Amino acid sequence: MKRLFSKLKENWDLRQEISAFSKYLKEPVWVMLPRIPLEYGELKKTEAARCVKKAVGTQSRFKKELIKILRALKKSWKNRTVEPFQYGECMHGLCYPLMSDDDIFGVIILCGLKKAMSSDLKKIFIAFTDTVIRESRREVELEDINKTIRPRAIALSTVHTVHRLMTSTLDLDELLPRIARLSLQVIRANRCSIKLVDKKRRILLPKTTIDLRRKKTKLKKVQFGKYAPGRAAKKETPICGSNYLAVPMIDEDVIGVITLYDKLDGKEFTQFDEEIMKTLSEQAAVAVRNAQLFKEQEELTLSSIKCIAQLLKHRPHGVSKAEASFLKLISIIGPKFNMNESEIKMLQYAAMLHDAGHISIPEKVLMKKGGLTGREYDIVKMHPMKGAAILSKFKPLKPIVPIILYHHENFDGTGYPKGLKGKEIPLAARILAVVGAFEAMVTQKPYRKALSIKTAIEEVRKNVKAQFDPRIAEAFCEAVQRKDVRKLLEKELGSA
Amino acid sequence: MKDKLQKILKDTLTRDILTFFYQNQASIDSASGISAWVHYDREEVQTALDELVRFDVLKKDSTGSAKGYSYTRDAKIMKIVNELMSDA
Repeated sequence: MKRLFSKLKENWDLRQEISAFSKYLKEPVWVMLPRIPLEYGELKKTEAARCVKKAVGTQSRFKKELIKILRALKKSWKNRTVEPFQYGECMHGLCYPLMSDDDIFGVIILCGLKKAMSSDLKKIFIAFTDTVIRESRREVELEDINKTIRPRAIALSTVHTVHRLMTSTLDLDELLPRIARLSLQVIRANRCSIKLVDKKRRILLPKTTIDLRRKKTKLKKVQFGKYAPGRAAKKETPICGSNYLAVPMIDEDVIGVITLYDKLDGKEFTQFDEEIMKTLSEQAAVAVRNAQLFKEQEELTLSSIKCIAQLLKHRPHGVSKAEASFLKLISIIGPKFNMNESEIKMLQYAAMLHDAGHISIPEKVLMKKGGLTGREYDIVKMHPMKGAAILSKFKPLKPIVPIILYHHENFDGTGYPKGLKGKEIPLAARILAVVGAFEAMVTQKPYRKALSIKTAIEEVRKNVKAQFDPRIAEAFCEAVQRKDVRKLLEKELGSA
Repeated sequence: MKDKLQKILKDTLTRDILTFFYQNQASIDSASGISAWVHYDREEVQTALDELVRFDVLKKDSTGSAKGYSYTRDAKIMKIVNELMSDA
């Protein structure tokens, strides 16, 4: 109510009202008080009393007139009405209780009027003043909203942004440091550590720690029930101390704990910090769980690929011994052509399965030592289509189907199965064409010995433009001559 | 640093954004979120945000299409901003 009174006093419209009425009423005295004076002593100290004193001469008369006004004020307070009063010889005034709903929060006493205010003018005065009161009340309410709702709305918007930032990755190694960084930012703390639950052993395994004050941090395992993170995991509730806040990440069960230490401003963690972290940890739990499920799914896909690749190795057409080297070559070449992580992964899967269609080629053709007949060569040329058809049945591998289908296309359009030319051939298939050809050359075949790495590189160079995309062939030659790749190749192939 | 900051803070929008983050240091928000808090056009806000990020007063977290801006945690910069805000 005090705030409403101050707001009303400051109100520009009220000042305008006073100014307008003052001109019309020949400069009366306006007195605004935060409460209605109901005692003589109280009224005596007001500007209204000074106005009365000016109008009446003697002390006894002054007291008498003040008591008359006091009576009007009491009536006004009791009935919540505008009460006129008269004092001196012919001076007039009125008191107007300031009300918000049924509560009186002040009074306007108007004195020094040469004549009583007409009922019409009184109506205008009341209507105008009520409007100004309503406006001031709205201002106070708006201020309250700003004070209470705005910080919460800002916090909510923060939570929403953090949620978007968290859920935009499914890579656990990227996600956990991100959760830690965002938690540090939101809570303004110096250190954040995230531990994930190892259910079998009932311990928390450290996964990431970010300390703004130190570059190196120790990662410690914590048993359930021990220290703040362990207690938060065991009790499934936040544990807050003066300089730490451990919040469990719960997705049905506890999957981990986020612990924050030492606020930047040196103050203690608050209830608000706890509330915000509870919300963030719920989001983090979902993001972590999704990333874990995605990883499991990826592992399942990879195992299936490995299983198919293993089956293919039992076909008698020559087995590559250098799988890791070729996968590494792809991981080096791919980014040079702006391929993203997922595209590179798919290309690696394609590299492992590119000859899946060999399964449809009769053994005698694969094993044949001499040259192939036209019909036999036609059968061999079918293998990209057969491979693509087999793999298209496995949904997670859909993206690799075109790579498998076109990896025997030549850059000059002389390849198979469709005779595509240049950039008509998908980029990944053009990369696999180079890596796959190199792989075939360095691998022992029933019809010929394996070529040396050096000779195979020369062969790739010889076939630039005709068979291979020149830019890709160049990137390949650069990559294959890197020390780490060369070392791995030599190790896997067992020769130079 | 203080002089450079003082210079860019002559722009009302940049100043309003910094004031927002100074008063809400735990906030992480997108350009559209911040444009709602400071009542300016999103594109203008984006330009001012980039400027503040360039001066390390704000931090930008970005992954895919999601972008979040937040107040610096650098104690030196926080001290300078503190002084500038107290002077205002």
